[in-house]
Amino acid sequence: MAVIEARGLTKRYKEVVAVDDASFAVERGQVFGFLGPNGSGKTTTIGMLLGIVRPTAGSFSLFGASTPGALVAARARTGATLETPNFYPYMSGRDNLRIAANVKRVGRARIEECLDIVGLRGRAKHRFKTYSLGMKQRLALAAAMLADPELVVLDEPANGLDPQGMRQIRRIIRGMAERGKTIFLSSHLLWEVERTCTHVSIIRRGRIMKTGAVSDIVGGDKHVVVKADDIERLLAVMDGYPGASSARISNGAVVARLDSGDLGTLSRYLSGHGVHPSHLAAESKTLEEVFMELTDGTPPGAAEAS
Amino acid sequence: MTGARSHLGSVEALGRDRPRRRSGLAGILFRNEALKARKRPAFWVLTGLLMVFVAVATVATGRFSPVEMGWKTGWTMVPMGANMGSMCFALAVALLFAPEFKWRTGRQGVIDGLAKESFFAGKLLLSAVLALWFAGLAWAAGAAGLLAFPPTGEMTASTVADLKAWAGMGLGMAVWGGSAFCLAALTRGGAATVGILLGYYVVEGIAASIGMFWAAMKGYDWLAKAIGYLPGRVAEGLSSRELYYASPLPADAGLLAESPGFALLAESRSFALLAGAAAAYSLAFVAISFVNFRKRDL
Ligand SMILES: Nc1ncnc2c1ncn2[C@@H]1O[C@H](COP(=O)(O)OP(=O)(O)OP(=O)(O)O)[C@@H](O)[C@H]1O
Ligand SMILES: [Mg+2]
Repeated sequence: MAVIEARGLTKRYKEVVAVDDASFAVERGQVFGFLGPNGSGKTTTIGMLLGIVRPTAGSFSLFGASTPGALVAARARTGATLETPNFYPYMSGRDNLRIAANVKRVGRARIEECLDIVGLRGRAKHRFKTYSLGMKQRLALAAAMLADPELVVLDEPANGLDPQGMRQIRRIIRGMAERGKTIFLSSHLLWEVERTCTHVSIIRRGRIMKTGAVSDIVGGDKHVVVKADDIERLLAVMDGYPGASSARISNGAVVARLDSGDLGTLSRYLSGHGVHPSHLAAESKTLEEVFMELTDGTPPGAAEAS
Repeated sequence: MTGARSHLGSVEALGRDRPRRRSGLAGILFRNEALKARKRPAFWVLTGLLMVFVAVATVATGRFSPVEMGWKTGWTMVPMGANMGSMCFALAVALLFAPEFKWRTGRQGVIDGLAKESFFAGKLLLSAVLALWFAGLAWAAGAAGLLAFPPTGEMTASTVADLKAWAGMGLGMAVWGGSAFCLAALTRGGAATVGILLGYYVVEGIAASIGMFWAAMKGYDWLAKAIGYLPGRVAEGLSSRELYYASPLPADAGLLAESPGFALLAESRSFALLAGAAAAYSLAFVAISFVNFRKRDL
C-alpha cells in the first residue's frame, strides 16, 4: 500500500491552473523528491495532501485513508511543514513545540529531544520572532519530528539554511530514512534532490513530467564517450555498432547513446574493427540535464509564468 | 476522536515517550488555547485595563454618588462593569483569533492533525472561557469596590433581579463577542476586526439616535422598534441598569423621560425580547463564521 497516493489532483485558481491532473505514488521507505521551478505547483500539491487546500478535482490517500475523518487521523501520523515555518511569534520556540506536541499527544521529554536534534536547545526559551530564518526552519523540522512520524512531508526544507544547516538536515533526513520512515520533500534545488532522494517527480506548470527512481531517471539515458587517434574512423565504426545509436562528434570525442551491452562488449567490438580507443567511458545524465530537458531550459529557481 | 486515540496507541508503542496526560480532544483544545492566551501580552493588558476601569468606576460611584445608595442599590451597581467587560472580551476574541490566519498557525494546527472543525471548536471554547474570565473579573472588581466603600444600611444578598441582570449582561457580552468572532473569521485580520467592530458600534449609535429622533417626530413606531433591535442597541439595552432596576437617581429618570424617543425606546425594551434577539444574533454570528471558515482554504 502506498503511503501517499495522488490520483488526478487538480487545483484551479480563477485563471491559474496551479496543479493539473497530478498523479503519483510514494511507497513506504522512499525519500521522494518533488522537484519543480518556482510557481510550478509544489506547495499547492502538498497543501492539498495536508488538508489546507481543497482540490478542484481528483483525490488522494494517506496511509490508504481518503475519507475526511480518516485523513485527520492520518495527518496526526505525519509530520509536515508547508511553505514557511508557521509559529506564534510571541511565544518561545519551546512553547510553540508544546502546542504541536499537545495535538500530537507527545510528552515534554520528546520536545527537548527534538530541540536537541536540530540544535535549538540553547535558544528554546527565546521568542520565535527573534529567530533567524535558519532557526525558524529548524524549529519547523523539530515540530515535524515530534511524534516520530511514519511520514514526513517537508516543503523546501533547505530554504534559508547555510551549508552546515543543509548538511545537518540531510543527515536528519537520512537518519529518518534509515529507520524506515517515508519522506516526501519538495525542492527546486537539483543537487539537494539528487543527493537526498531515492525517487523524484518533476513538476512543471502544475503538470507532472516524469516520476521514477532517481537512479533510473539519471541513469536511464547512458552515454558513452570514446576517444581515438582517428576520430572519423572511430565515428564510422561507432555508427556500425548495434548496441549504440546517434553517434556524433563532440569536443574531440565520439558521443553515442548506449542502448545495450556494457563497455567491455563495445571495447571488444572496436578492437575487432581495428580501432584502439585512448579513452572509453560511460556517462549518465545529471538530474540537472533531465530537469532542463523536461522544463524547457527553465533554470531551477527562476519564476515561471503559467 | 477515534483516529487520535489510535495514534495515542502508536506513540505509546514507541515506548520512550509517554503522553503526559490522557486527555480528550476538548482537553487538548483547552490547554492549547489557554497557553496561547496566557503567553500573549495583549491579553494581560486587556485584563489589567478592565480591572483599573471597573475599580475607578466603582470608587467614583461609591464616593461621589449624589444620592445615598444603600446596600441594595450599591449591589445593583456592581454588574455595570460588564459594559467594559464586553469591550475587553470582544477585543480579546479578536486578538486571539484573527492573527491565527496571518501567522498561518491555524493552518499549522490542521497540518499537525486537528480537523478544521476542531480548530474552530477550540476558538469557540476559548471565547466561552474569555467571557467567563472578563465577566468574572468585572464582577469581582465591582464587588471589591463596593466592599472598599461600603454603602450604608443592611448588607443584602443577591436577588432574582440581580440574576436576571447577570444573565442579560452575559447575553450582551455574547453579542459583542459573537460579532468580534465573526469579523475575525471573515476579515482574518486583528486590526480590521477591531476597526470595523468599534467603527460599526459608533456609527450604529449615531444612526440610531438620529433614527429615533426622526421616528419620534414622524410618529413611526415601527421604525423606533426596529432600531431598538439593531445589534449594538440590543447589547446596550441588555447592559443598561434601567432594564433591571428602577433608577437610583430620580432626577435622571425625569430627564430621560423627557427626551424624544425615550418612551418608544422604553416600550421596545422588554427583557425577553432583547434576550431573544441577543441569542439569535450571537448564534447567527457563529453560524456565519463557521460556514465561511469551512468554505475557505486556511
Ligand atoms: N491562493 C492562491 N490564489 C491564486 N493563485 C495561487 C494561490 N496559491 C498559489 N497560486 C498560484 O499557483 C501556482 C503554483 O504555486 P505554488 O505555490 O504551488 O508553487 P511552488 O511550486 O510551491 O513555487 P515555489 O518554488 O516558489 O515555492 C502559482 O502560479 C501561484 O501563483
Ligand atoms: Mg512553494
